[in-house]
Amino acid sequence: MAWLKKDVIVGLALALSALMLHLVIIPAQVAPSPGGPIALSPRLFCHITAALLLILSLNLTVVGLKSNDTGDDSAAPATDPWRVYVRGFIAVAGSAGYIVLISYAGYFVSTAIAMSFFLFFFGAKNWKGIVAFQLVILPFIYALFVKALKVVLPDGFFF
Amino acid sequence: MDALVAAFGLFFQLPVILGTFFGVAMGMVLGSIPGLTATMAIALIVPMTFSISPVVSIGMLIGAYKGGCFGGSIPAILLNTPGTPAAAATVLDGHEMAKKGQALKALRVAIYSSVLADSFSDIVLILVSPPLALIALKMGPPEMTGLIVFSLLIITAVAGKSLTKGLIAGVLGLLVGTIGLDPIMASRRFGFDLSQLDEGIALMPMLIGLFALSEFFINAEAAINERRVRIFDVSASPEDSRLTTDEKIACAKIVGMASGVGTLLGAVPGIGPSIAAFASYAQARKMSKHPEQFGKGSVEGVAAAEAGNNAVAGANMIPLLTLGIPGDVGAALLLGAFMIQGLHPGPLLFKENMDIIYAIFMALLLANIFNFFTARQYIKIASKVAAVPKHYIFPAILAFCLVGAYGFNQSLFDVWMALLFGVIGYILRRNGFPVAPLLIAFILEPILESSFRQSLLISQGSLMIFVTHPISAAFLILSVTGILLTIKGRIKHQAH
Repeated sequence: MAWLKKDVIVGLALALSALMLHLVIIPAQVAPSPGGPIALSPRLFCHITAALLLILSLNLTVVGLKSNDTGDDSAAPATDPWRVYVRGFIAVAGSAGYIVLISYAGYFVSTAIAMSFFLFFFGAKNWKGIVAFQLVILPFIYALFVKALKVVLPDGFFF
Repeated sequence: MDALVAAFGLFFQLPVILGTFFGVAMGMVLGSIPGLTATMAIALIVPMTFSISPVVSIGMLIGAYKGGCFGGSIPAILLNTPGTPAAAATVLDGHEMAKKGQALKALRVAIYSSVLADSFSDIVLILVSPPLALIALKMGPPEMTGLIVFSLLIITAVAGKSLTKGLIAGVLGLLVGTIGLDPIMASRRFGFDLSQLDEGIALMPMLIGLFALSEFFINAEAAINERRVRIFDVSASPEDSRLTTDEKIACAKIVGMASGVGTLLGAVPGIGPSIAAFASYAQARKMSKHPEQFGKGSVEGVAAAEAGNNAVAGANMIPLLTLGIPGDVGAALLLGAFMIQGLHPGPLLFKENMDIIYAIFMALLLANIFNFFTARQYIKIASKVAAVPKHYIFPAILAFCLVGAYGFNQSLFDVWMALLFGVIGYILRRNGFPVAPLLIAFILEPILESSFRQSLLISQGSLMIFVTHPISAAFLILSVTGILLTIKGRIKHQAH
């Protein structure tokens, strides 16, 4: 399975996406041409860019197949890659949960909860440091955004 | 001459000078906070300018633009998180210098390079822009199409290691740019039944997500039992905080070169500071006596990136004022702000509002002076971030990113967009794709699509229009030549 290098997988995924765009998404989501010159068609530029994506992704696939290296340009460490992917996924999921919480608990309460989670996640062990962090960051955001820049931050249902 | 005298009278008043200083300070501070960005500084200042005079507004906005241009290099050096797309080139050596304990030296190099290059391009702008306005009248849709295609190809060629991946990122940016209303027929595209997408994807959340949030996710991958608690340590040695004489001489040559490159590229409509920064960096590596140090903490690398990046600021005003085409995100906001104030950048601006044009020139020069003195003090405060453990830095980055994304339109939808682009940026970066081409292509897509389709309407569907118009043909030839040379250079590099 040596041919399944990262660039090959990415190239094939992008090629598939380009085909989906051409055949399914553009016809469903973009109005057809109203008749007359082709330049008036809202779909023209979309099809051109999807075609470019298809060509380039096939090129990437071919380059990936011909290449001798693993095609890994990422910054992730080579050892234990699944552990780092899991941590990345947890960070994404945690950020999504934070945004959902803003709608219910308001910006400041949800920020306090999310910051506590991420402080532990990034390795903070001292609870006094966590509290001090909250006492600095939250008033600073309030002073800068609410008072100085007049941004109305979400209140949420409960707060 | 009358217009110049009138401009002096307009500009040199206390409110204008204070407004310019305020803009510089705010731009620098907000530009240096990850997630807030220089663009946010301008975007947040725009509403403040509604109730003040146009000249004060201009001073404040230009101050914020300049302050933010430099401010974006601070998190690039200290946190590996560029505050502007152009500062992505500064990261290459700036953060490496910080990791070696030379954060203050890197920041000082950034200040001097930025201010010198910026001043050079402002002077060029003052001398060149009026006659250039006459040439600008000859640019029609085919010429604009050729120009923007050329611009996009340069970005993709220099932005990353792989040309194909850079081009893919650019095409993805064009695709994302088609979301919203069709520019000619005004029909919805890719709305997915969401009314928030009728106006397309907002720029700020995309910028924040692609750069700052993706950096947050990449750093989240690191194991929590790493020994290093701080992002980097600061060296106590004076040699690590100040430039030596040899370094000053080496940097002077690089800054001179990068000022020229940045000014030339910045004058081309649609080309922003990102291109100039990377092009200057590439040229500096060829000129340097120690090219092997580039990418590992070279002072010359930081000088080249910052000089190239900031030299665009003044030159960017040439296409902005003469053609109404912004070269980067910040210039795009300046364009919007000018229009709100009743100024319509384009060739006619030079005929009808010459006093305002001169006032803009004066604001540019004054903002440079304020930038220099403010930055010298601010970097001493900013560099203290080195003392903060990174388990405090990154959660703070997340908090600022999300509130920054929300603050622009006061919409949670924008926050979700920032997260989405954060995930996209994270996946792209982990697979070796550069994200700068995606952003720049997104910004240029409306102009490119409109010009392209207008050209086809004029030619009744024939693509020959791009060949029969000399300026358009010249840009297309340059584009093809550039791509072929880039491919040849990379094949040669791989063979070595």
